[in-house]
Amino acid sequence: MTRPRFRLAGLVLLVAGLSMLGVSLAWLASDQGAITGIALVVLGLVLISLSRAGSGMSDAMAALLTQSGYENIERLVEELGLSAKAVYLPSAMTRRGPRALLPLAAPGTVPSMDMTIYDRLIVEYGPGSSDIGLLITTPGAGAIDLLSSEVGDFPEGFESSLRTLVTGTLEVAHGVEVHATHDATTVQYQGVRGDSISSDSSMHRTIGSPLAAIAATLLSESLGQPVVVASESQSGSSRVVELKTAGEQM
Amino acid sequence: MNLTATEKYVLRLAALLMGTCVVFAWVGESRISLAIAVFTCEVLALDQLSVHLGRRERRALAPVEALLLGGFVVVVIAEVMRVISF
Repeated sequence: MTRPRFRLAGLVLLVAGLSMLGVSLAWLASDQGAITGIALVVLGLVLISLSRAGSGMSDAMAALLTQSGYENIERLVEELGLSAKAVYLPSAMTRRGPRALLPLAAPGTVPSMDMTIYDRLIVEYGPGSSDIGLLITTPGAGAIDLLSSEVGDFPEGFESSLRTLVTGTLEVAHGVEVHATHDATTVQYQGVRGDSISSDSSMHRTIGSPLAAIAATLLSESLGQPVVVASESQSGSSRVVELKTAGEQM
Repeated sequence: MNLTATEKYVLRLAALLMGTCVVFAWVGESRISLAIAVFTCEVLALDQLSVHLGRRERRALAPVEALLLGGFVVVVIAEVMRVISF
């Protein structure tokens, strides 16, 4: 993804700045005009640099891949008749990063904290015969890799990491607020864009929207505990996600 | 107005650089070398303070920071040479 409007604005500022610098030094003998020209050149260079800060993939291609990935998981969830909410596991409980566990039985049991779950699609996560589920990768797992440092401690570090991801790196919301109570953590996204999911879909009921998945993954990493998306609601461009540790919910 | 972290960064930088130009004109300061030094410090400081900028954005800004730092070093060396030559 590139930002064409940044590149255009940057080029205009660069040309205007260089012109102003040249005219000020050569004909007007105005040092203050030259200083303004230098400021415009600096701003133009910054904008041109930022226009290249993309993933190298077009928005349309990224949307296609996301849609096909979600549709495949949705078909799997519907085909297996899964209804239990996904349990977001921290990387400490899996072998290859944070994952979401979809228990086959509802309500599912909570995986033991001292248990390491093998990174396979179908996993056994408890001693019971029905403790079998699907271990899948959600957008949150990939989003964590985009952070320059580990997810911070709850709540300040968690909120800071989440804000950096959704407002800075991914640019899918304009603001994030985290409210923690004794039994739940509420994440409120403001100015959400480009993340819509049908509320009556099986994906929404089990895994949640990509924004909910990102918040749940980061919270599970921050707390070092399994987390579930208890509820999710949208009002205009604001979305509220309620998260609970898995023991309290299931 | 809803703005992303990158858009806020660009607006803050524009306000900072243009504000500096206005202050320079207000106080009658016309040394280009001083302006380059101030602009460099402003860009580097704002980059460090913008904690919510993404990793890709920070990587993209690195060449501009290096360029400004290079200009800053040239200005400093030129000033030192000028002082020594007196």
